Parts: sequence; structure tokens; C-alpha cells
Amino acid sequence: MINLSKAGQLAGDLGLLLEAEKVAHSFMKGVHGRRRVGTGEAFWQFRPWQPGDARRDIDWRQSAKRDGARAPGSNLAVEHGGAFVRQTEWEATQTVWLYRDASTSMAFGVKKDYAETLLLALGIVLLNGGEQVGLLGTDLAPQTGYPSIQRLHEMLPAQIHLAERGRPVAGRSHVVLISDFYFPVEGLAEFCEKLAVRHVSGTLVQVFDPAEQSLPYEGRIKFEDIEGQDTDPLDVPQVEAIREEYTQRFIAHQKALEDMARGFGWAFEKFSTDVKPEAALSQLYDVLSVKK
Amino acid sequence: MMFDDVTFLFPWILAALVAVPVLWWLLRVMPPRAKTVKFPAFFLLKGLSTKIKSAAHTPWWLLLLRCLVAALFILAFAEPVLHPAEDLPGGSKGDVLIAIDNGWASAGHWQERMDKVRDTLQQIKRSGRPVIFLPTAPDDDDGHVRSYGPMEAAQADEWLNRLKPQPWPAAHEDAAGVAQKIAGEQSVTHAVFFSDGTTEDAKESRHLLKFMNSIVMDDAVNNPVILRQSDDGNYSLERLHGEAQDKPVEAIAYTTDNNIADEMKVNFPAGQTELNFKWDMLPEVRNKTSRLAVSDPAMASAVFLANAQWRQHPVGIIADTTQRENRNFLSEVYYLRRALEAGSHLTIDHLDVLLKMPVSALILPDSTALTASEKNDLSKWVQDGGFLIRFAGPHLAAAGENDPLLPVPLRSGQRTMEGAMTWEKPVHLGEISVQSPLYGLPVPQDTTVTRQVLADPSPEVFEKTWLQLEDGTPLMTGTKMDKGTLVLIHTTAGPDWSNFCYSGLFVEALQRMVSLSNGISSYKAQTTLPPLLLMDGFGKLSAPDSRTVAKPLLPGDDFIPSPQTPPGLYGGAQEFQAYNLGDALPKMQALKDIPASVTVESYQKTGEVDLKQTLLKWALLLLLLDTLATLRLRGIMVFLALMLCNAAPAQAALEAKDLASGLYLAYIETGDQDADRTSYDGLTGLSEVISQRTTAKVKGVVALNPDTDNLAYYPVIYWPMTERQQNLTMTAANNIQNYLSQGGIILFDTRDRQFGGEEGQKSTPGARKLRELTQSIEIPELIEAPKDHILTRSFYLLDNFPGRYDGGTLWVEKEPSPRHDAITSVIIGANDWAAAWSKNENDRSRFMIEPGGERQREMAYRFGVNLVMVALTGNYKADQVHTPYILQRLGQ
Repeated sequence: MINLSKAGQLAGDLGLLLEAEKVAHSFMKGVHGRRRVGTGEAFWQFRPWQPGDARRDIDWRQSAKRDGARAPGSNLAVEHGGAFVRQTEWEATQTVWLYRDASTSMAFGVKKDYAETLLLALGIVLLNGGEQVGLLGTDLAPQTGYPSIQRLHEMLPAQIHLAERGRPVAGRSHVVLISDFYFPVEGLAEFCEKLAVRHVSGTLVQVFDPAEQSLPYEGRIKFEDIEGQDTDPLDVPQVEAIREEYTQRFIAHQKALEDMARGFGWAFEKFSTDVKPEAALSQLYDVLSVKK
Repeated sequence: MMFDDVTFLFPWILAALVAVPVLWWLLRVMPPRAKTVKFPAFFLLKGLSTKIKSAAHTPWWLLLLRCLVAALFILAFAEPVLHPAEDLPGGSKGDVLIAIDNGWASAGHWQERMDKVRDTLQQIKRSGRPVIFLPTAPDDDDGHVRSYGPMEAAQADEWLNRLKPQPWPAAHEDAAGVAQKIAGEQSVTHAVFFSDGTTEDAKESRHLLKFMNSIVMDDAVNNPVILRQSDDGNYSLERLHGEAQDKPVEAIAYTTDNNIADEMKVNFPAGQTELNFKWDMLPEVRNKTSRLAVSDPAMASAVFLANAQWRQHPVGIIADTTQRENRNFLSEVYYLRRALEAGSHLTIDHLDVLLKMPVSALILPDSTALTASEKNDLSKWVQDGGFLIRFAGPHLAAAGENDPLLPVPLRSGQRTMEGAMTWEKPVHLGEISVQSPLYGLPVPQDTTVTRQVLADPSPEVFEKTWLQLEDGTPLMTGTKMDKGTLVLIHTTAGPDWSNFCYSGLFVEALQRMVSLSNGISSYKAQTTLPPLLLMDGFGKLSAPDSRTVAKPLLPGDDFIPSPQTPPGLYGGAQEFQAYNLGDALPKMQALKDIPASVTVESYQKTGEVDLKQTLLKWALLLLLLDTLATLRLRGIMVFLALMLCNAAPAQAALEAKDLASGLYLAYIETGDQDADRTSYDGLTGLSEVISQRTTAKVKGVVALNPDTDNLAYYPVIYWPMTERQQNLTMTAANNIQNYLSQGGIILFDTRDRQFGGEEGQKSTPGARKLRELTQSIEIPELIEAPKDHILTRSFYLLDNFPGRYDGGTLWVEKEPSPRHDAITSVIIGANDWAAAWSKNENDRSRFMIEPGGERQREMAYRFGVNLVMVALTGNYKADQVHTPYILQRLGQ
């Protein structure tokens, strides 16, 4: 019986992986040919120079080919169509650390499944792109190559807390945190700051249930904390009356998260679970490819 | 005010009404329970104002509702009574004796009588006194008058339901004896007698009345009727009182199987108590009649049962026994059999066998040859009262001159009206003269006679002619022969000499003649007659049950109705004797001279109304309303609604990918829940059959809305017509048109047994609906499915396409497009297939397959399999049309 239940569990887990594969696969089909020009060289595109770009990044030859090239640093205003910066798509040794929140609050609706699907799908896409992928907060060393997704999948349950345990995050790597972020921003900011000072870039991905955004209940409802931290339930006589105020708070919280992320030069993305994971992945990938 | 005279039986319960305001207060304090939600973003909610507290209270209307419910319950249990009657005399102590007339005279207006008794019981119930019942007619269990009780009033109600009127007279003397005994043993403080207004013997009735305090009787309610047959065959009605106005009385003659054979309306003149009337029934109707009854009142004395002789007219055809099953259209016996088998008990056998049986009429066709001694026997039988019908023909024409069994002397030879050597034309039938026994039967205009035998002209021939031809020659002659009758039809019983045998007159004349024959009454005088069917008090016949004390009768005994010999039919199934209550009853006597000590009451009801039931009903209704409201407040309604939605055929939303990957059967949703469920069940049933018997595996059944769904996934769509179906939108029509032009197949089912293709004519509702719905769709030209249509052999070989009904025409495309494999894209029929395909237990009983039962259901499945096969394989099977030719060629 135990074996049987294990097998069922395994099948369920595999289902998750398959779902992630599906999501990733449908997305990668779109990437092919568009994103990967050439034969996998690091070169991605030229773009006009912008203040803040390192001088060594300028492709002088390319800049010379085009009209109106100006040396950066000269007193002349740099106009559009001046120097061109050579961009590569990825840095070959980029490590992306993935994390999904496993707290009780994620058990509301399909948030947890959604987060894990997103995480694994992202993992697949990244591994396929030749990146190193690690699981934040676990002892697993960053993995390379597509087959390692199995190992990521197996280790996923071990990822429990967002803490600085497990493998240390090397500098200049990237973290992706998937959670509902239902806790005060301050605690998170502290965590992010520690990473940011080591030049770790990051993306905060908020996954939430539509009900959490719109509070669609009616009449008298007794709200309890799903995490059980707050033992006092909140008795709301008429949910309609507080809905607007709540929605404002919800948006304010998202704004605070976004501002916090911006402060570290990180990105913030938010997905309702009724958004297709494919769409979410695509958007996330866009953000990551710009961020790196 | 209308509640002026409301009395509460338990007024002290009303004190509980004080508690209602307390309830109000309690309910106000306790708000409805809130629904709990475990919420993740709780920290965001925290601190939000929960200022509006008032809604936490029960809404005022709910409070009011609940208090009302409580108040209604309290009021109901206080047992309010509207217009209460006065209490019975005799105080609240002691027993109440209720004597009830339940003899034959009480059956009329029995219900009114019982209503009054129940009224009285209500009054007794209030004082809590026990009741003793005393029915005055002897009990059908043991044949004695006996009393029941004492019992509680509640029990009495039940007992009263079982009390029934008996078809024999009440025995007031015996009842008086029982009453005396009761008076000695019990403390009866009040005795009331519900009388039917009649008495068998005034003295006996007075004895009974001695023990009574009051009597309930009413001329309007007590007016029994007796129907009798007098010796001259007329009928008489007798009633107890003459009524103030003329009263129409309806008498009805019933056949054995309870169909109405004849009706008669007579007028009972005002003030009279007796009425004689004559009822002339056609002989054939009289033969069928098993009983006569007055429609109102329904009572045993107003029913007259007919004796067996009335209707037993067995007929024999003298012929070879092999003729019994003969289906030869030239055979005489065939036509005779067809004419007689419906109306009479018919035997076909040799003469010697028939003569030993009780038959009242014999038919001798010309094809049967009899020896001289047989003719002798037959002649003797006729003289003894038999009825012989003879047909002429070649045999008789050849040897007719000295045949003894002829009503009129015949000329030798035959008369031929049509032939090579004659200019005469076939002759039509003439009139039936007034003195003929056949007078009144319609003469068909198109019947002609080509050959006949001719009677030797003599004055008496005219008198003996029952039916003649246009030119005056007799076609049917008959004469009395001692007690019997002899009839000759001067042509054949088959079509050789005339087409008389095809006409309605042939059948009617034969039946009329058979009914003219003497009935058979052949039960032996010495046998006893066991009870066959016994009458109850209301004049209904039923087979005696095992508890009956009814005993066999001896023929010739005087019939006295009693528990041992109730009126009814006695004897065997074929030979029985009717014993009628009316014949055994003397003239009715009204119960008069009521002693002064007995109060006389009428059957007028007291008009007491018990309000308890009404109040309880309302209270429960409000309680239900309250429950619903509470559920609504707690948000559980949504859940309930979901449950209800789920009860509809569960249809998982299927992804396009799934639909394309397997075979799904589909039907158009009509909006009529019943029909949709049937469609779903039907297609599910068909799917099972297809999956079991063929290699096609059906994955599921899908309901379609042509407006929004993509139809392209389904090879065939079932579309039942229902009244409620909405007309198609433009999108829907386009979708369907596309589907059809891409090679889809739609089976339209008008579900109404018949679908006429022609406009206007036989326009059934289903067909009308179909036309309405398909207005915007281009339906190709249709033809009836030909015998060799692909649908008849794509999997099974079929002759027709039955569903729940059989026989409706199936219409298919006349010239199917070669683009579609030359397969019809539209199939229209009316046989309600889904109902036949359904395997759902409920549906099985819901839809009886007509007329063919399980076999027809199987055929319906086969049609379904064929249909799906056509949809899946196209004209694959149609190619095999050429198989025989190919095989033939190979052989050569």
C-alpha cells in the first residue's frame, strides 16, 4: 500500500514536471529562430549607446559604420544613432537561482502548483539555454544541461524556507523568487539587500489567486489567517463594505514590493493564477533576458 | 369577523404565545453564523474597519418569519375549530352507540352518510368518549349482526373507513338484540342511528329505535332505487320517495369487459315512485350486454345482471377441420370465418362433432357435401330449434331440386349474368323489405352478383325473401322449420359467384342472423352453481375472495339475498345464472312513525372545520422558507445551486484536442431538459453498443450548442425536435450549413411517430418545428430512404429503421454530393431513436417501446450502429453493391 501511494504521489509529481515541460516547450517553440540568431554565439544585438554603458562594451567598428558616431565622453550630446553597444544574449556562466514559496498561504487555490510549474518551466528553458540553474535554499549545486531538470524536480520539495541556508549564492548571479509575498515588505527587503550588495540581481514574481485580489465574498464572513500566525479571526459583517479598501491595500502592497525591487535594480512581476502559465513564462523570460 | 366562532380545544396551549416575544429577543441577540474563510492575505485585511455591525443581526423580516412560525405552531396545537358544533347530549361520560344502516338501501349516497358519521365522531372525540359501532346488516365475514367497540374515536375513524354497504337487507330485529346486549354490558349514555330511511319490517325497526336517542335520516339522502325486469321483458324502476321535480335517469348497458353497449335515458316524473320503461335493444347489442345499471345512484339494487342465455350464441361452420386456418382467398370458409370470428364463439368442424356441441347456429357452405343421413340429422337439429344458414354454389345448382333443406324450391341450374353467351350485366343488390329480419341494415351500392340459383316462382317465395336483387329475384330466403329457422343465400359465400362476401352487409347479415338464433342454456338442472362473480353493495362485480361465506346455489332455489347468497353470477364461466338483488326485493317501505323519544336529525353537515391541519401546513411552509432564507444568508445557496447544476448530465468541458482525437457522438441541446437528458442517455446507450459490437470506440457524448460550439469534430449529430427549442441564430445556421457542406451528417428526429415530407399536409408538431428551425438552413432535396439505401446495410442488414416507434418514414438526401462520398448529409425521421437507445433504467420504464418491445429496441440499436458506420466509413459498404457481379464474373 505504501508503494502504491508513493507511486501515486510520484505520478502526481511527474504530472507537475510534465506540465512544466509542456509550458516550457510551447514557449520555446516560439523562441526558436527569433531569439537565437546565428549558431548559438553570444552575440545578440547592437543597440545605441546609453549613459552608463561601459566604454569597453562599445563596438567601435559597428559604430564607425554608422553615421554620427561620437566618442562617448566627448562634450557633444550623444544623439540617437551614435555609438553602438554590442550586446550578448547571456553571459555564459550566469547562474540563476530559483525559489518558490512553500508556505501554507500558497496552498490557497492553485497557487503552489502554479508556482512550481512556473519554476520548473523556467528551469527547463534556462537549462536549454545553457544556463546554470540552482535551487535557492537547498544543498543542490547549480545544474547544467536539460536532463538536470529531473534533479531540480526531485529537490524541489526540499526547498522549504527562504533563508540563507543551503548553497551560498555567488556574486553576479540571478535569483528568481516566486511567492505570494503576503508579509510585510520590510522583511523581504532585508533579505534582498544582502544579496544585492553582492551584485546579485533578482526578479520577484508574485503569484496570487484572483480571489485574493478582488475579495469576491459577500455578506458576513469570518476571515482566519491561513498561516495560523494570527489567531484572532476577523469578523467582517459585510464584505462588500471593505472590498474597496482591501483592494487598495492589495495594490499598495504590490506597489511597495515593486518599489522595493526597483530600489535594488531588481524586477517585479505579478501573475494571477488565471493567467496561463505559458503567458507568464513568456513574460518572465523577457524580463530575465533583459535583466540577466 | 370570520373568526368569531373559533373554538380552541386546548386553549391552555395558547399561553405559550407569551413566549413569542422572548423568541424575538433571543433571535435578535443571536445573529446567523458567519461563513469562515481561511484567507492568505490576512495581514492585509487586518485592521480594516468592521464598522457596520448592524448587518450581523438577523434581518427583521427573518425574525418576523420565525416568530410567525412559532405562533402558528402554538395555535395549531391548541386545535382551533371553526364553527364548532354543539356537543353531543349525554355529557362527557359513558359510551356512544352509533348504529349505521349498511344494508342494500344504504349504498346510494353512502358518502354523505359517512361524512355525517365522521362529523359526529369529531364531536365525540372532543369529549373523549369511547364509541361502539353497530352496523345493522349482517356481516359478510360470519353472516351475523354484531357490534364493534368500544373504541377510541381515533380508532373509530379507521374502522369507519373499512365499513361498506352490503348487498343484502339490514336486519333491524337482530340489531335490536345486539343493542339490548350492549345496553346491558356497557354504560351507553347516547345512542344515534344513521338510517337509510327504509325498513324491512316496521315492527322490527321500532324495536331497534327503542334503544336510540336520535335518528339521522333525510329524504334527500335516503332515496334508494331498484331496477327490475318484468316478465314481459320491460324494465321498471322503483324509488322510495317521489321527488319534487322530474328527474332524468340514465340507464346503461355494459358489455362483459365493461364497455358501454347501449344507453337509455328515461324521465322519472315528479312525485312518482314507480316507472316502467321499454328498452328495445338491437339483438346483437342485447347479445353483448352483460348487465344494465342506473348511473346514479350506484347501488346493487339498481344493477340488473343478464343471464348467460342472453349472449351465448356459438356458431358452427360445417367444413373440414383443415379449413380452420385456411388463408385461401377463394375459399368460402375463409370469408365466413372472417365475418364471424370477431363477434361470436366460432367452431369449424364436421357436422357430427358440431351437433354434439351446444351451437345455436350452423353455417353450411356449398363446398361442404353432406350425405343423406347427415342431411337428415341436420334437418332434425333445425326442427329442434337450430338456425341453419346455407350458401348456394355449383353443388347445390347441380343437385338442388330434391334437397330437403331448402326454404324455397329451386330451379335446377344456375343463372349466369355475365359470360360469353349472355348479354346480361351483373346485378346489384335491391332493397330489404320491411318484413325481413335484416331490415335496417345498409345495402351497399357496389355489390353485384354474377351467378345465383333461382327460386321456383311461387307466391310464398315473396314472403320468404329476406334480401332481393335489383331485378326482384331473391338473394336470401328464409323460413321457419318447426322451432328452427332455415336460411338460404342464393349465391356463394366466397367470391366465385359474386362480390357479396366483400361487402359489409355480408358481415352484418351473418351477425344479425346469428343473434337471431336461440341462445344456448344448457346447464344441467341438477348441478350446483358455485359463486362466479359477486356483487358488492355498490353493484360492482368481483370474483369471490377466500373469506367469503357465500355458498353455491341450486338452480330453482328461491333467491334470498344474504351474506351466504349475495347477488351476482353463479355457475361456470360459460354457463351461469344471474341472481339479481332487484328481483328478490319486495316493494320498499319507508321508515315511519319514529317514536317521540327519538330526536330526528338531518344529514346536513355541521360545517365544523378543523383548522389544525391548515395551520400546520402554513407553519411548515414558512419554516421551509426560513431555511432557504438562512441558507441564502450563509451563502450555502450557491453550493446548493451548484449541486443542482451538477445533477444535469455531467459534461466535462472537453478540449478541442481531445475531441479531435477520438470518436464522440453529439446531439443538439434543445433547452428542454427532459429531451436533452434523453438524448444524452440515448447516445450513451448507443455508444456502449457501438463500442461492444464494432471496432469503433466511442469516447463520449457531447451536447452541442450550434451557436457557440465547433461542430467539425463530430461525424454525426443527433437533433431531436422539441416544442421549446429556440430558432437558430445566424451564426448557428451558418455553423450548421458549414458542417453539412463539409460532409457532416445530421439525424433530425421529429419524435412524433410520423413525418410527412410534403408541405402543409399531415403537418405534425415535430415536422412544423423542424421546418421552422431549418428555415435558414439549405436542406437538399429529400426522398424516402430506398430499400437498398446504404443505411440498410452499412453494418447490419435492416428493413426499416425503428426507434421508440416503428413505421415512420425515413427521409434522406436525393442526390448526395459526390464530394461527400455520395453519402446523405441529412436524415429525417420521426421514430424517437434516443428514447429507444437509452439504457438508463428510468428511461426504460419511461419509454415503452411501441409496439415491438425488446426486439424493436435491438433493431433501433442496429439502426444507430448503421448510422454511425455510415458516418465513419462513408460509401465503403455501398461499393459492395457490385459484389454479386464481381463474384459472377470470377466464376466465369
